Amino acid sequence: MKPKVEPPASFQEMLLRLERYWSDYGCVLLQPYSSEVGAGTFNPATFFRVLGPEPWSAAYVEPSRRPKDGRYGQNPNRLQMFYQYQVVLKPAPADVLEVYLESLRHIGIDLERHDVRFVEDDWESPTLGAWGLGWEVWLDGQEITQFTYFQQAGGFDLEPITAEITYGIERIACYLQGVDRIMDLRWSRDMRWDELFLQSEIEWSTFNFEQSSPPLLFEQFEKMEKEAERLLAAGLVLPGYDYVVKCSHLFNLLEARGAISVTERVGFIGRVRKLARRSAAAWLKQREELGHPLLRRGAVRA
Amino acid sequence: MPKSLLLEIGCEELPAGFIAPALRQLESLAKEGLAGARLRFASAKAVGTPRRLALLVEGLAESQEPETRELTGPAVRVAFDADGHPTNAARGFAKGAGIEVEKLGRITTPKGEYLLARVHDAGKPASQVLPGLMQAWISGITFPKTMHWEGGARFARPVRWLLCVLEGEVVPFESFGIASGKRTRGHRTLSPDWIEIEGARHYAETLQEHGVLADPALRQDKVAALAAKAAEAIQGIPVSDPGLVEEVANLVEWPDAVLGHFDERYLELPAPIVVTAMRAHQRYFAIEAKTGKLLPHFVAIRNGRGEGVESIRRGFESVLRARLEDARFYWENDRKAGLENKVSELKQIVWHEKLGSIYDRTQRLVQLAEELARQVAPKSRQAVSRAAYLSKADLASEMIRSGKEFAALEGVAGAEYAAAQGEPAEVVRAIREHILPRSPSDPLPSSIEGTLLALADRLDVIVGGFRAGLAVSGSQDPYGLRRAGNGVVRILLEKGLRLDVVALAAWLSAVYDRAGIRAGGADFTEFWTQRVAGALEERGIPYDTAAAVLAVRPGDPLDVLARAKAIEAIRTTDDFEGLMIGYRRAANILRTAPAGEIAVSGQPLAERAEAFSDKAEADLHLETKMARQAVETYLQSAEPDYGALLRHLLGLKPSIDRFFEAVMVMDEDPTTRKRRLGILEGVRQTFIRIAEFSALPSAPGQKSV
Repeated sequence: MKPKVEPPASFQEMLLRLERYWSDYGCVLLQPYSSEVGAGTFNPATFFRVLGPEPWSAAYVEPSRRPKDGRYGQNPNRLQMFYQYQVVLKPAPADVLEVYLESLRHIGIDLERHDVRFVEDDWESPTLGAWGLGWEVWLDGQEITQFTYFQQAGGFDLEPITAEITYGIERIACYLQGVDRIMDLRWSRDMRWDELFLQSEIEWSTFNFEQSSPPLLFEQFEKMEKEAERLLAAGLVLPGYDYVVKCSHLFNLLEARGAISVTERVGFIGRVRKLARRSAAAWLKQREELGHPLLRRGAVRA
Repeated sequence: MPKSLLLEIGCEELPAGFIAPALRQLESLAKEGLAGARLRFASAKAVGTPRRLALLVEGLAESQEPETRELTGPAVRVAFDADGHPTNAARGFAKGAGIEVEKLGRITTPKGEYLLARVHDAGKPASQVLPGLMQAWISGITFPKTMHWEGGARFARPVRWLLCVLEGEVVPFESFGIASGKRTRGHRTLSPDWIEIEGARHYAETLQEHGVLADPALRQDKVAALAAKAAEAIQGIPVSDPGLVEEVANLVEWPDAVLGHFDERYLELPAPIVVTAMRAHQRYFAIEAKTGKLLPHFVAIRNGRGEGVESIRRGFESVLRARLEDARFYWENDRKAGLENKVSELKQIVWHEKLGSIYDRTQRLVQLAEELARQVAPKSRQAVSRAAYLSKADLASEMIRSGKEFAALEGVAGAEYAAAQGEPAEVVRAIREHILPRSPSDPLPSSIEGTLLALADRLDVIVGGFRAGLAVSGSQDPYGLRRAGNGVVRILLEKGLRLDVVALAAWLSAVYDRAGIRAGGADFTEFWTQRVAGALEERGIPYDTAAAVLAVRPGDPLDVLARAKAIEAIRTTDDFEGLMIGYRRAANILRTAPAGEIAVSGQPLAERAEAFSDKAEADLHLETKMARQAVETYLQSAEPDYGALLRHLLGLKPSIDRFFEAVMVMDEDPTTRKRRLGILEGVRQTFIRIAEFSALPSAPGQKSV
């Protein structure tokens, strides 16, 4: 049996350990993307990098906004903004599950004393035209990670395959600290989660459900969509995609506000997906024109 | 000496539902593959867990059975030239067969004389044949959904090792870019390192030492026993749930039970909601007291054994608490809003873009349910109508709209909300039961109100589905039309309800017409006939008898079944066969006669005896007329005695036979010809009140005339 690792004293200590672990593994450690996203998958470090033949290993925290899930800070487990810890490994190594389990050990989860389970889960992002197969990872019945072997992104078949590991870090921290409410998490030695973010949850929930302006959001959506089209047509892949991401967030805001009917919903998702496909196609073309530089690097290193 | 063979495909965690079908496939691929390769074996059995699919073969022959094959070659006339020397055709054939030209034999067939090669195959050692077989079996396993992870290979989840041993020796082959070996892995946390296995005989034992119970049947027994034992500690019993036992057994490699507890105040929620919170996502077993009352406990199965039970229990309990808290939140909000008020919200929920909202659907259900009640249970009309009105309201409730596990409680949630707002018991029950049966193994609604609402619901799905152009094709049934149709047949047959479904579908079609929803292309009668045919087949009615009775009035399955059974009871008797010889002759003549010449006899003129030129004509005409009257009298009855009715038709045999002996139907004189055709048409019209008898082929050995 492996030696027991003491659990970290705070949320940020846990995060540092994850960073250390994946840095040692050889990942590029990145910082969050600068635009509002619903999940780390929208970050170009995942959405673009899973495409094409070039290898890629990266890890980063992603603040993830789900306007619909806000509960004014009242629900112990539901937030309109939470943090994901995202790891992408391309190609997925053969021992990827063992490597992942070892990361849990590293943050103080004594695997022999817990029930760890890989429960079938098919992941799909209709807005990104992406899907994959994998699992929800359960720790004592609680979902702590989403593990996905990406099969398609932007409507393109992927080769090589990327493993995407998305840790739900507030949940894991609750578990490690033995608290039932995210609000009670020790963020640092001296600060609790509620001292840092409770006011933000209340204000954003109020904005998302009551104060956001649907006419303005609709107008912004139209404009951002046009801008994305214009920029992609001009061959500016990353700025173009930035506007696609903005469209996606505006759609989420409209949906939280109840401004989009069930029938309209499909149409909006389709519009974002179309842009995501165009972005993916543009990225693939650009990387090819650049001669897949990361592929060459890999060859040199080998 | 017979050998034992072990194959193990080591995977990352397979979906629980994929394991049993994959093992069944692996076992039959192996049995067929070994037989096809002429390798004798005593037994082949597949076992597995989420991380491995394994095959154990015992008593495997060391080499293939020898075999002599006869290959037929070119015709002798082209195999030798004028001088009797073998041609290229003969030499090529001999070369292909691997023997010398001189050793070729000959065979005489009806088409002439051909060259024959007798090839003896002594058989290869099993060790040479097995590698190819292994690759074929592994790639022969299919899954509902596959992925790829490296190279071009596809499987349900990545394959990470291949173990294949024949009596201690590795059977070398490569699949998915992995070379086979002797190594496997134990339980992920109990024994994470690689282990070696010597062969099939050590498989179960070695894996057990490393925390893996490989046989799914053993794991299931263990899960059931562990759950029962854990529940005993609190004087409870696990709520019976064989499907959950099977699923849970395929979620773990080594099951162990953890008994957990939840706050008693959640038991104020309706029991189905509490059970769903435990079962659906978490896969916990609910526990009830001997009285059947739910207890505030559960049994969860963990994957592993030993330490950590306390912290695992705390984890399991805390997840369940969050789920029950969600349920309580929805339950209270929905109850406050009231089910009645949810009905108008259904206007916002689209059922199908061509068919309008769920509210529109509700309106149709009310009308159809009232019509059904009018036909078979007038006293229940009010309750059925009310239940129909409320039946879909739960689709607007937070409980169902949440998209969480509780969404599966459609109908059940509606019933609970109906009860909470004080609806009468029969209305509540009808709402709860109208979703039944969801599958062929589901129970049927117990009350007449639930039964009628279930019928209305399904008929609207089918008729509406056809309007929307959702035709059923092949084995696909994406919109559940076929399932709905089979449900209607099953309800009517098992509940003994007599309803003409074809007429009801037409009635409902008129409702759609009035709503301005235009008809689609598919034919309801054909769809319906196929559904009833399936039910008749399940009840042992031969296909042709089913086709014969379904060609006539297919709407009421009970009536169709009664006619089929009556025909089956006499079908093999000589009397019936004799009658059929005459009847088929009549039907054949009518089929080939010009349509314009056939009119039913029965005109006043034709009934005067002097109009008939032969007594046999007059007799058959009169007897047919009497038989027809008798048939109509029988058919007046709510449940016609088709046995007695068929006996009446058997009575026509002598006069039909005499008719054909005495007269020539296709007489040159048009008046005579038409009259005789008219008499035969009268016979046919009488028979097809029961079935299209000409669909029945003659019995073996009988000559058709």
